[in-house]
Amino acid sequence: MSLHPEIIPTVELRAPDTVMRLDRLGASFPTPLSFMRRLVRALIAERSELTYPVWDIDAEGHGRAVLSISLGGHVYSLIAYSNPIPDDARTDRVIAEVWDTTFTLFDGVPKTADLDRLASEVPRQEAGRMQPTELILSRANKSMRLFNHVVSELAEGRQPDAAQIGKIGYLMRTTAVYGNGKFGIADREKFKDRPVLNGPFAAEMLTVWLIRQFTLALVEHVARAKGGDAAAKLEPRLKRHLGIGNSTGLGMAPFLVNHPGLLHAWVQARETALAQVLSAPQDTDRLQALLTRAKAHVAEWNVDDAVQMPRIETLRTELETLDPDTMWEDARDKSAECQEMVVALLLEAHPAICEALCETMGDDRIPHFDPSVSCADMQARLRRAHGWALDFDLEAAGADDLFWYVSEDKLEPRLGERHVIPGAERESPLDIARQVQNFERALNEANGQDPLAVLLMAAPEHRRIARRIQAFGDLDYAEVRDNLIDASTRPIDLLRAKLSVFGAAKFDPKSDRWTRVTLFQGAPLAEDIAGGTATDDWAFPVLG
Amino acid sequence: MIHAARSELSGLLTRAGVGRGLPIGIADELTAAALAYCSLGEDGAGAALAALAPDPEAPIYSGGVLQGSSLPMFAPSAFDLAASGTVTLNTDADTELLAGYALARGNGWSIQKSGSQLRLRRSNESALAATTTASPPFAVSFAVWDALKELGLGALVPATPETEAGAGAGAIDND
Repeated sequence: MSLHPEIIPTVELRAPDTVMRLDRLGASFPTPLSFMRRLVRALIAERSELTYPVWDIDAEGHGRAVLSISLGGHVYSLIAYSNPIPDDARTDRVIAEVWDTTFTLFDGVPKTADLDRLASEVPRQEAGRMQPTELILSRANKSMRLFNHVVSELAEGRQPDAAQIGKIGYLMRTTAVYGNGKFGIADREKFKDRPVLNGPFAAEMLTVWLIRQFTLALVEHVARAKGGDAAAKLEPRLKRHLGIGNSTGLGMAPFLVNHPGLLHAWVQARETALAQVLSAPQDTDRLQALLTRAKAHVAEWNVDDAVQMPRIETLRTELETLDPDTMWEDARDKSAECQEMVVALLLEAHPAICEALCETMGDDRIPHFDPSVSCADMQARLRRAHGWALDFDLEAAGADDLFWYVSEDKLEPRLGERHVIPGAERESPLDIARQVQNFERALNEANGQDPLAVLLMAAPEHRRIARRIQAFGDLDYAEVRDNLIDASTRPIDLLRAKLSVFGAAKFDPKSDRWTRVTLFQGAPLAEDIAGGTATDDWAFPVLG
Repeated sequence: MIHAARSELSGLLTRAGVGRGLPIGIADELTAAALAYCSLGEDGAGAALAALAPDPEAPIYSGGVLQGSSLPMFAPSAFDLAASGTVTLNTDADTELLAGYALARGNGWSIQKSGSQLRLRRSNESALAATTTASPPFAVSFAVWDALKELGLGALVPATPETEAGAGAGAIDND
């Protein structure tokens, strides 16, 4: 674990029984540790220049384009294919078959032959077949309201309505960003040792930042085609406030359960940063400025969701009671949203501490599994590391009402009601608490002196959970400490936990199973970065 | 041929194993073995498909003898027990993929087979690792790919209006 060299934490890290509960994870906010922030700092450090080697887009905004950027000694290119689609086919669901624009992140600068090859593959997304020269596959749909409004206003030489930009916040929203080998694209191991792209989800974040640049260029292009010389360009202030929307559903939910090592690394970095920050001198003026900005940001955060909106209203009230000098203590009796917002504010005030910890957020460990341990030793290890899972009453009403599964529809992860939807016999193993309890029962019944291997031979259904406990049991933050098949489970909490690590803001739940968010809102533009005027101080963006 | 990334092939193999009826932890090890076999320049996907016979049966362990006919079910226990102590191993399964299992264990094994009797021994020299030559993407024949996909359907829940409901965003998103 990297620590800031001058700060030795004098406070303990928060307990996993607190921070790994689902409802607490579902109150997370982005921090300087978030992957978007790390990417932007890298772009700023290199003053990377964006070029447009291909811009073959017609007056309606259809065609293909290439945006290239140099980063960490490599050139990466976003290839975009924009096509007209019928309005009744525009859906953010993963089962969609057409999108306004489809993208791939290409390793290098594509030649015409590459563009021609990919023109018949990228627009088909999951049905296409890519090659290892492609690193990421993605697609986005327009926010029709805002895109059309911005085009028409710019074409008339006017700036778009700031209120609409503030309310929506993006011209396009991505509906999937695929990486790590899907559909023939490169495995992550191809670039895991490259500068910048070595971080988790760095290639995905770079792709989304480039997509944002593409949408901004596209809207100005279409406006210019309509308005000619009279067309205006977007004011930088408005432009900067336009991020990229994202619709995220259950597809993202299993990730945190399936990657316990990464989950631990992410939370451990944040909790270590917090402990260091709380042990360091505070800059009250900086905290006051951040708190003021956060209040304004939250004032602009409005959603329709009947659960989230009251939480936001409570947060607004609680933020008014915080004193920058004592905000950590002030937040102790406040809501989880308020406490996690204070964590984010404190971390924002100490970027050097966070920067030092960013390098710890990957997980390249090779999990070790030893089936020669005795059943008694295994049981002791289970109780020590996963004792939290034994506390749930799985016989209680509703305790196993839900089941996770993968649908035949594009392999989409879903959540069903066990006693309503057929298919529970094909349940995905996200029921960690129940698996732990079942394994504990089997260990209880086994001869404690027998090697674990003997038990697993007779009961191979416990093999994966045994491996998991051995491999990750000593990592405090590796598990979501809840029963994820309980009727009260809100998958949206898993989504927010992950999206906040990405750096997403303005969580806008549309149900307990999917949310819209905004990515890179307020982030520096390509011209800010190339011009040397960009900073990484863009948390809690406010349009004003 | 399909040229598959490691992670894509991994997902395909695990789904196929689960679809064939293997416990998930056993399917994980089949996948690891197949990918390790691929890294030897061999047809790991084809070998895994061949090992996925219908109705995989658990091995039987009695009197210090482990007996099994399904390699995916037999191999993990065979290595586990061989690592834990002395055991006699008997199998009539096609053992082509055993080298993948050995390599996936990562700590060096020697494999000897005589008739149905199998000997697994730990060795200090990781001879198999030294011969690792191939890296992704791995070539998989269309026939093997399609067969694994077909088997994987057994791990998936068929799409119905009920399963689609509430899965995510709206049916039409023109806002």
